[in-house]
Amino acid sequence: MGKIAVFETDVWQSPELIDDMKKKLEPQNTVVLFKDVLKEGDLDKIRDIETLIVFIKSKVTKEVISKLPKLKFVATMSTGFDHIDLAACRERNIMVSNVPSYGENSVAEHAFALIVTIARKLSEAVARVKNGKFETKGLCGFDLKDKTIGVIGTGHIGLFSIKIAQGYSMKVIAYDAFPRKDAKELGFEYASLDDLYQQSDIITIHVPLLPSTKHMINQGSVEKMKKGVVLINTSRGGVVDNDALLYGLENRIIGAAGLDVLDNEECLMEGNKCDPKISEKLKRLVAMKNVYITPHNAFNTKEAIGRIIETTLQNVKGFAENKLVNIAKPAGAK
Amino acid sequence: MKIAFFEHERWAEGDFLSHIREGMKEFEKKFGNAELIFIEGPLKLEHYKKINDCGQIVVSVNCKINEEVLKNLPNLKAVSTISTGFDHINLDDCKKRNIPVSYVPSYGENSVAELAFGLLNSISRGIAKDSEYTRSNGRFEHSGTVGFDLAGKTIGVLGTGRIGRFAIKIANGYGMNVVAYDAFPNPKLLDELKFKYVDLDTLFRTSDIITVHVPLLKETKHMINKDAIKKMKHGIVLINTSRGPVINNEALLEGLESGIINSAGLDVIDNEEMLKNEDNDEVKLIRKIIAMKNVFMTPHNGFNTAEAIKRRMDVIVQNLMAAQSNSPINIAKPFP
Repeated sequence: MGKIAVFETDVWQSPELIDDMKKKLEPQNTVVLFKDVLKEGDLDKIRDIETLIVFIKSKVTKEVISKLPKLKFVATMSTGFDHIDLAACRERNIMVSNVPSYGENSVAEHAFALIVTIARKLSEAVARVKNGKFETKGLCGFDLKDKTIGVIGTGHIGLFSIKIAQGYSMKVIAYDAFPRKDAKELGFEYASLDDLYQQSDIITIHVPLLPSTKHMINQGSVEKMKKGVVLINTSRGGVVDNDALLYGLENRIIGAAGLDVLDNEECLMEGNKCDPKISEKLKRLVAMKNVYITPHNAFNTKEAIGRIIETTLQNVKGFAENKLVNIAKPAGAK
Repeated sequence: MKIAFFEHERWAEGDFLSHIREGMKEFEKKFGNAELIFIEGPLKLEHYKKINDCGQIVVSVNCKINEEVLKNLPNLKAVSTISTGFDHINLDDCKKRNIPVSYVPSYGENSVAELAFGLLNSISRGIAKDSEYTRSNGRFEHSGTVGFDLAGKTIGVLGTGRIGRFAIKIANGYGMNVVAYDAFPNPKLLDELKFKYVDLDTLFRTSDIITVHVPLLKETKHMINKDAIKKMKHGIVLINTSRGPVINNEALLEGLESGIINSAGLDVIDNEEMLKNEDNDEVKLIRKIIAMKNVFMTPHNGFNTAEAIKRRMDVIVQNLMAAQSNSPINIAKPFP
């Protein structure tokens, strides 16, 4: 009999699915649910937990785990685990599992939802008709067919994006630090990052956030891009440097941006205090007419949430039965 | 010689007018100077004085061409429509006067299919609403939007012509199951695309999403009516980027209100031309549909991409030249 704390349950907007998850955990465990992010004040209430279940906004730092002496297992309900200090967990012999692939299609579909919204000025078009005007003037968009899309990162999500792009008859080039061998069979070509920047009409980012990918898109990369490029980020905000984004947009190198994530996005959430300089830049970015931002929502489909919960239950079960699955490993580790 | 272009504001903005002027230079080289008259909006009584000696006219979908119009244009040699559909032109009336009608058979099958999926994917992820919220409030907060996946869903494609087959290709890319209906199935398509032909009832019954890509004909007018909607799966998403009259507005409203239709993405709506200047019961009905939270409507914009417009203008210039030398091409014919 273990004690489990689950944080950020409100993120899922699906109380019935969370109730169902709780029921499935309860025969073997005591389960406490928290609607919000793990905060310092919560630590006292969960001192005796063995298992901690979180999503991306709960930071599992060395300090946090030092206050949880019985903690043995952390399950994050996300693919990324940059919010968890893996080294600190290893020191304490705390195991960490993630959900390696719950929604490669959901995230890739979201990337394309942003792309088609931009390509066809859908937000403006829909708002105009709602306001009673049935006119096309100023709504001329662009085709996706025959455009070149550069896909950065060819993991599960990147590959699904490639598949969707091929459906739209786009030309696909891709970059990955660890290229796949079956690219040819999958109908795309790898290119160097520089070539990808130079040739792509649209760039979509699907890399994890690592020290090596932090601010991977910086001013230097933006300067290499085709004038008018459409930049899509549904991965992690930290991959794109906000200064570079502003530079590209203000100098019209970036024609439009579709972003589900932003570096320091937490500064735009209620109750968070941030460096005013960072907040000011974010506000400028968000207000731009050619920037389309969704609130880190790419994972958020009914089907994906079902799969996330199912995998998390398997992870907890694996830990209980000493047959750990989906172990979170630093990138590059075998 | 005079050539009049109607409704050019619908299909040619800014640079594109110079693109067609450029294209017409080829025409002028062959046939001498042409006076190009660009008129906003459809043909009206007041225009006849200015254009009654026109040799050719170029029209769009809101410009009705029938005997009433033709008898006022004694020098008319040919009519070109810049659209793929030609239901706004009375072909019989033109035939009686020996006036050939040219259309643009394919300029934007991908553009229209891309808009269909634009509407669908924007609906499935609540993009329009969420991005507007973030922009106007400057807040990055969960908005309560739980979307749905397209992968694994069944999409019913009505009509497997040039546009429909492009829609099937896009749906294949998203990993959807595709069923299709066409009055004249084209089995060759099965070699290159992943889908199966089914009868209309099966399509209505099994599709999570339906996208309409049929031309407007007597047989397809109000093809989606109350009976059709009753057969549909509860919670379906309906996309129409073809012609408005394919769907009956009363049936659409009833479907949306009952929840059979979960949401609708529309680029066209029956009697959309009335929205411009009339205010009758039909317009009230249309406005009621448009105002619904789960209706996402664009203003007949499927064709409207830079690439499609250029392709289309190139075809129009070819059509005008062919008609001028009495050997018209891309002739609009009644469907079998």
